[in-house]
Amino acid sequence: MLEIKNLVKKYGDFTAVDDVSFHIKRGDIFGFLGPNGAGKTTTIKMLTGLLKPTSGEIIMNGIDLLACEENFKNARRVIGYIPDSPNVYEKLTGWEFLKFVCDIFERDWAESKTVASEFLKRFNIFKDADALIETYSHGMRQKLVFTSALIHRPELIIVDEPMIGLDPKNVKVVKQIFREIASGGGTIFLSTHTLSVAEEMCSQIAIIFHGRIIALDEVEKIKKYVDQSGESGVAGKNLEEVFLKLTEESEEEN
Amino acid sequence: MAINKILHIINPKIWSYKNYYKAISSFSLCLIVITAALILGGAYYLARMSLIKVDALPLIASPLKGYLFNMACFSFFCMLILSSMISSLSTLFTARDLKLLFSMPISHTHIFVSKFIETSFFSVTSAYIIFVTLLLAFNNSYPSASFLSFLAALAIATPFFYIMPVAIGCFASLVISKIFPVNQARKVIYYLLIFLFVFLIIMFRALEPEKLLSVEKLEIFANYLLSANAPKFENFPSSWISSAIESIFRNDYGSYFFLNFAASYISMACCALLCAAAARLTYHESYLKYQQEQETASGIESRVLGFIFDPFLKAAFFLYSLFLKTLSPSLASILDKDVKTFFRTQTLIVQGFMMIVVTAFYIYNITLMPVATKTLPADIIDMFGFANIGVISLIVTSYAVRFVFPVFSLEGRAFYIVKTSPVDLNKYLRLKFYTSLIPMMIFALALCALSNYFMSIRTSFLLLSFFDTVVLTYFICHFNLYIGIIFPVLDASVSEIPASFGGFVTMIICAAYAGTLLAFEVVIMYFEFFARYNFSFSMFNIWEYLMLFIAVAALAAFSVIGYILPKRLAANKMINYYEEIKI
Repeated sequence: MLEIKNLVKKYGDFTAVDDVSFHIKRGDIFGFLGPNGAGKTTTIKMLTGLLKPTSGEIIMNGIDLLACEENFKNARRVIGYIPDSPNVYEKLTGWEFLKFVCDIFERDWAESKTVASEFLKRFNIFKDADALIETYSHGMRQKLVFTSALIHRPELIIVDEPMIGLDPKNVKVVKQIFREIASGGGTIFLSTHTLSVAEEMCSQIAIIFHGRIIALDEVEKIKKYVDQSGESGVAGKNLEEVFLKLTEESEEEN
Repeated sequence: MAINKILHIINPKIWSYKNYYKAISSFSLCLIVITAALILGGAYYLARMSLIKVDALPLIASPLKGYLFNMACFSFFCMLILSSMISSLSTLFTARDLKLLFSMPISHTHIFVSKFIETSFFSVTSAYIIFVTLLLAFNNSYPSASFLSFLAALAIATPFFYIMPVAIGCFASLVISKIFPVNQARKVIYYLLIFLFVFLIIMFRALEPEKLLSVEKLEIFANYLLSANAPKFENFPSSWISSAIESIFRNDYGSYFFLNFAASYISMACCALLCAAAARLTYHESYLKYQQEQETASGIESRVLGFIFDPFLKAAFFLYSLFLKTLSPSLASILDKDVKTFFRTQTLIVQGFMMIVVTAFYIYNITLMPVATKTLPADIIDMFGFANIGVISLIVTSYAVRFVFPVFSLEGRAFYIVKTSPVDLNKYLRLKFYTSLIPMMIFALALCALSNYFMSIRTSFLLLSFFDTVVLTYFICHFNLYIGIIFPVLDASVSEIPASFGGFVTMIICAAYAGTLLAFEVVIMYFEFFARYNFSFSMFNIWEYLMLFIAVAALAAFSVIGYILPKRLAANKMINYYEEIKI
């Protein structure tokens, strides 16, 4: 579904993303972990076309998206992006915003409205959809952004810190929605700090640190990998301890 | 101790501004300083020249000068009250740091005082710098005045103008916020602002300045002024301070000086005390009420006087819907979003209304000019028509910097939605450009047609006016839109966007372009004028041809740079937008 090859992003002398490669299969929930400033958001921005990579390839469904702008433009029709900050057009109502997103993604509103209504009801903001977004709380905006990213039924959903601003009930709803999408053949690229969510949801995990991938595998295999490297007492523990161990090791190597 | 605590609250603001100015390149800083010096120098020169003309008027020079200074102080004072009312609503209730401040162990009085100082600094300083140049020009027009008298005038004017209008503005905001919810209070203040603005213009019209242009009516005007029929505000704090300052200029420290000085400073102290009392009684409570309002979601408000406006709105909406159908769904949706954002942004509507009022008065003033009453020779009327092109370009620029320049900034941090969609960015840019250009062009051509109709200029000049208006409006819209993309202003209120660095650059460049175009055409005018009197090429010397060449070259260079460079930079900026900006 999505293959990243040797992706690099440099800002002058500083390398934010350094030779990142991974492959995500259709139906996977791929966890992308890393501490603050590791290069997660920069990678996501390159995947969504917000940033131009310095070098490397982004291949989606066998098509190199960076080969020409038309390829990326076509790919955007099937990508849904949920950023970490729910920035939206505050002077529109919830419904107007959703129609706007539907139109710019060139989808039929009549059909998308039904999908949107379903998500709004699940997120419990259906009754607020006629109010101006400027009156929404952070959590309500986040839920609206979720809905807007899902109404054009994307094949690949790229999510940056999905649980920020959501209460436990809505975190559960989001997890449920992700599982449904994945079981329906959709693919989810999930960048998060919430390791328990990644551990619970993801079929595959990459840990990025100082712009480089330091671990890429299934959760259980990553735990074993640490154990096999000779550092005892890590295997069998939760992902949080494994993550801390791996990043500490990388820090020492640096 | 209290001062230290207030300084602790203000310090982070000062540090953030220091950091902001450190981040500006020295080239940009030099450009800002040079431009500011030119503007202030120009303002001083204009004021000084006008006062020299006033000094030359027989009979009325002295009272007219006093009257003009009184009017200047009154206008400045009113303007400061209005800007303080608007600013104080933001600084006292909606500022982002307030949540943090109110959650800290800081007294509410200290928070209020620090916010008062912030309001005072932001709403007074920029206007006060211009006022100081006027003060210097007035000071230099009095024979008895010296630099010391200017410093003395500055010493008594500064505390007065930094405290009193802000105290009135903050008091009004506190009272209105106590009565209405803060969001409604903003609207109430906007409407007050419109009415006061219109009132000020009417007051200015009551002076009938056009009579100064008619020599036979000068005596009537002098009598009118001397018999104090003209509007004056003798029992108004700004008149007290202006009279006290004028006494300093005249070196006349009689009882009137002390009376006026005492009256102005006592009234200032009363206002400050009243504001402090209102703050002590209502500030914290009003702030909490505002926080509560933010928690309560509400729908779109119903329109005022809907039964009058609804039929027109329905008709306009029908035509608008038909127009949207001619566009692709994605572009129609972007346009629709922009239109909705515009009409739901109170600040833009109020600014639009105020600009319409100014334009209406501009047209009305033209009907009163001697050119409109055809008391001047045809050649002179044509000259007025020519100069009018410059005025039109300034009006169009001031509209564009308010409504076209912020177009991209209004997308804010939500631009990622468009950027990650399949929308073609070139089409998006074209849509933004033409939806800005078309209304601006209609407005500019209507302004040109109306003003030239009242001036009755000859057909050749009428055609030249229309041609220039089209060229200038196209350039102004083009430049405002693209510079607005190159220098977007995020996280600022709509009213602050035109006052940003990019807005400043745009205003200067647009005015310079209009100036270059007119300078080029002055040469054509010059040739055309001589053509009426047996024109031949040998009539002009090499310097005049060189002047023509320089004007053409400057216009060509300006046009190429102005059309090509900003568009390329803007397209590049949109592609690399997220290299610099966080979502």
